[in-house]
Amino acid sequence: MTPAGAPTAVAAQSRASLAAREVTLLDLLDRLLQGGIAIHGDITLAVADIDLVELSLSLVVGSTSLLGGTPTRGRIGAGRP
Amino acid sequence: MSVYLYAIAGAEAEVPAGGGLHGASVRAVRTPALSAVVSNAEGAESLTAESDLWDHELVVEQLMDDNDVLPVRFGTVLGDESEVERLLVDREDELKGALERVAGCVEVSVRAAILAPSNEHDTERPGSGTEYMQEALRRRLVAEHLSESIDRSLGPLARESRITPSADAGRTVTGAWLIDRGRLAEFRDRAAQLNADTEYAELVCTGPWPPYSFVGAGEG
Repeated sequence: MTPAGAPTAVAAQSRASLAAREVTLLDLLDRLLQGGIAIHGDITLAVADIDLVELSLSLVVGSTSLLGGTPTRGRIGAGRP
Repeated sequence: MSVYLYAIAGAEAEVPAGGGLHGASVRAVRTPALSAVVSNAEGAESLTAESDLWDHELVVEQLMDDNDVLPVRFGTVLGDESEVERLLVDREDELKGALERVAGCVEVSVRAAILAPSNEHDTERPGSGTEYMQEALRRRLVAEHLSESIDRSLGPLARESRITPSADAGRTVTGAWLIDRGRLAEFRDRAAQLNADTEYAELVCTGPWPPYSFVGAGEG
């Protein structure tokens, strides 16, 4: 039997996991596109182009509201979402 | 054949078992001192999907399980394996120094969002220029206070830390910490405690990440 409060709890849970996923993706983007060892010289930079930049911007814009009220801690995004 | 570069590690590092970008098989290019984990770069001309990011990240994370690792910036392609070898030889001292710096460590992120004050839902009323300036100042002061509070609480657990002021008008504070692997649980606990103690902001901790923020040229 489903407790009366379950639907709300489930909705809250899925909001929290969405937020966790998006925060993890934002952290991933920050690191992969701005961090890491930069190799200069006779190399070609493959294109990490506009799609990812747009993704990054939309996540930054969304992150404040996503974070608010949905505390998530610990290891999230252990792998491919 | 051009090659895609994921990470650099010590000479003895074993090649991760899983596939790389678009399932490409991953191999190591080795010198006596170092190894670079690479795959053929076919299909790496256009890296625009979220799954591409995870393909790269998972190779580095697998390598990190058993090795100190220098993650390479996403999207780095070299002409062929001999160029990779030359990179490892030419920058050997620098790369070994970078590996020493992160030895035994992982990176952890804390992202904090400053919550709106309770009266801020009153947004339908157009604010004056003065109110706008006051609000901008308040946000900046809150962000500074939060940065100091985070640094005071988490800094002592880390070997190094970098706290970045927000790029979005004082709404967030982002930090990266380089911590010994053994202190991960302690760090998370303290971050959770800080989150509970900080009423005006919400903190989220992610990781362990490869040390992207602590590998020299990638910082900044």
